[in-house]
Amino acid sequence: MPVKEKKVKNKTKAVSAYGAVADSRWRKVSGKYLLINDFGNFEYLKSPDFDKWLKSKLPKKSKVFESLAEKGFIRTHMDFDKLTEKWRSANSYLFAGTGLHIFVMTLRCNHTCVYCQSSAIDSSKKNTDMSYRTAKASVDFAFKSPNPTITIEFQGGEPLLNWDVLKKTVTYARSVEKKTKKNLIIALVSNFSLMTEKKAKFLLENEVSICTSLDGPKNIHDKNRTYGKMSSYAVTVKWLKYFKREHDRQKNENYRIFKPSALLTVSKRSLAFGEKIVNEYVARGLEDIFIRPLAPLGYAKKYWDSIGYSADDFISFYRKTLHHIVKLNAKKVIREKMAMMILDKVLNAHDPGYLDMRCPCGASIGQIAYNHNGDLYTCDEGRMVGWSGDEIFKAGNVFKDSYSSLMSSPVTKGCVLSSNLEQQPLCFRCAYKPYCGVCPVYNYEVQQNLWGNMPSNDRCKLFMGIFDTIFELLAKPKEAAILRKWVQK
Amino acid sequence: MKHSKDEILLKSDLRKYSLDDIRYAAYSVTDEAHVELKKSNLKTIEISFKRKGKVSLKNTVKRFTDELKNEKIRADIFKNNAELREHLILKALSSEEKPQPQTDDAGLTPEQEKELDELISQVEEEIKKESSGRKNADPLGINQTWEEKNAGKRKKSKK
Repeated sequence: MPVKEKKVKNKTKAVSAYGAVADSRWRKVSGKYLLINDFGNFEYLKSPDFDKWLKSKLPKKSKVFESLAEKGFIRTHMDFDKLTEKWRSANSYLFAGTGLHIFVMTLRCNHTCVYCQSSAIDSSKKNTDMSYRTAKASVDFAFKSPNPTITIEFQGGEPLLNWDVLKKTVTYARSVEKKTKKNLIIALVSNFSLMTEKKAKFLLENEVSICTSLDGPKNIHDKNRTYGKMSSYAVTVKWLKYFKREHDRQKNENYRIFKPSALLTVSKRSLAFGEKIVNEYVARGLEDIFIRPLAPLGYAKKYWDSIGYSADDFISFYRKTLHHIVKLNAKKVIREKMAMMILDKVLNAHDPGYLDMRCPCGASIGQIAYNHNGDLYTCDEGRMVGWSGDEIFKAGNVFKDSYSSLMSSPVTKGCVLSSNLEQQPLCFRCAYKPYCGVCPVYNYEVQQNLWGNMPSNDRCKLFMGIFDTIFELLAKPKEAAILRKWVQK
Repeated sequence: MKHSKDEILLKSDLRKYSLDDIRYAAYSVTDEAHVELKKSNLKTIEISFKRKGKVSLKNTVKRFTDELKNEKIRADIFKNNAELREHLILKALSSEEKPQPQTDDAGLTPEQEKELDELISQVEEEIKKESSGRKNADPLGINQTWEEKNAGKRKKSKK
């Protein structure tokens, strides 16, 4: 029958029109087509080459064809073993179990930061301190994860306000490390206000890596991070200097001293001072700066109008600041951590452990937040939502639940499903899918459901802008050489 | 195509674009418009765009039509590669090394327990020493609560 024949013919034609095109996504960046596939390979194509590739008309002996074939963009020329090996490497976290265990040692804090995402409370309420019994049970719980490397991160509030328990917990965790023969990384995130030489010495001897907050020069830092009548900046700089000096002069000790690191939280008032903030980091001898966007969670959500900003504002800030950092690299080593983590995925097919940018996200399967009372949350952001009275992200309790029951809890499953980019319509088609991730907590808080609506999602827009900035730089040989150096293995 | 300031109506031929293609293209512009799909007959879908904010609906519809063309290409490529894609992901998943067996218990042996108890009591002893005279060792009041330090000031500022 003629009609039927015609239909079959059309169908065949439609499929074969892209006969040599392997599954890929694309986006226009710097006037070129940026092709990316699920294996994390990328290629820039000029418009005529893109059209030829799409129509399967690229000459087989051309350099473009060879490069595309090697990277898995030509379906008739794919090296299955090499490509699947790369996919496995980029997605190795799927097989590892929970690596990051965040211990909320107390909700108390002696700072009143304008954006405090942890929604810290005053230091009188000692009932929000984690007891040693809870901390010990949390260590045991953390070591139940099949991950060969366990990271315990002490957070708060200000964790040093619960120093006695923290100290005992470090000792206990190190003993469990010996017994289980796992690799244990311990990190402390502190504002340093309660740091003493004695505490510092204990932390260094126990190989605790130290991280603090530095929002830029004194006037910016102290405005963001209020510490009564005192200068938070002065305390931060003093102890950064101390830990850096200890790191620099370490010799053949029985323990390693890690270089201290600092986190930058970008508030509305930071937006005009990108260069000054970076210069402050350089002046403090820090080699990494992490330009972190503020998220409307916890305290920050309440005051978003005065401290928050649009995705466009952040992208503009990020772009300018990253360009400044790249320029500085002619003289100094200073790297941007967000870019480094993305570059590690893009150039090394390696998972840098950035749980916000994973598919599925790190909720429970990559990180667990242990609240002071033993309640377990999918992540620290989920814990903050719980603190505001909504326990949707509470996945269990350290005394009542097992690691396996936590993994199979409806809360964990809900987060895993909703952050699976294969099921997010816009993400599934996005060129940056192999490197990106969505956050169910953000979606829930901002768009009132775990799945969110990506076309109107500011976090999506923001990350899209960050990826565009990085791929624009990677398209320029001089800048690309600097970026490649940042993540060279 | 019918249009007013706040609404534009568009028709799409189902023989040219599949319902899935149209659905996705419609979803992709939901940041700017409420989009309603209505089947006119077996071959035609009627698409209504109602603007959400201060956007130009014409631009939204342009975005929609561009996305629809792109989606058709993407869908064809995806369909063409579906089996291959599944095969490769399955290969990648199945050849992964199995994780190390989980230890049954993170608890300690009696000897280790004893050693740890000694260590903990040593640490506790140190803490006691550090704590003695602690009340006087806070001249700046940094162990005080934020409320304790600022309650008076807050009340004042509210007034």
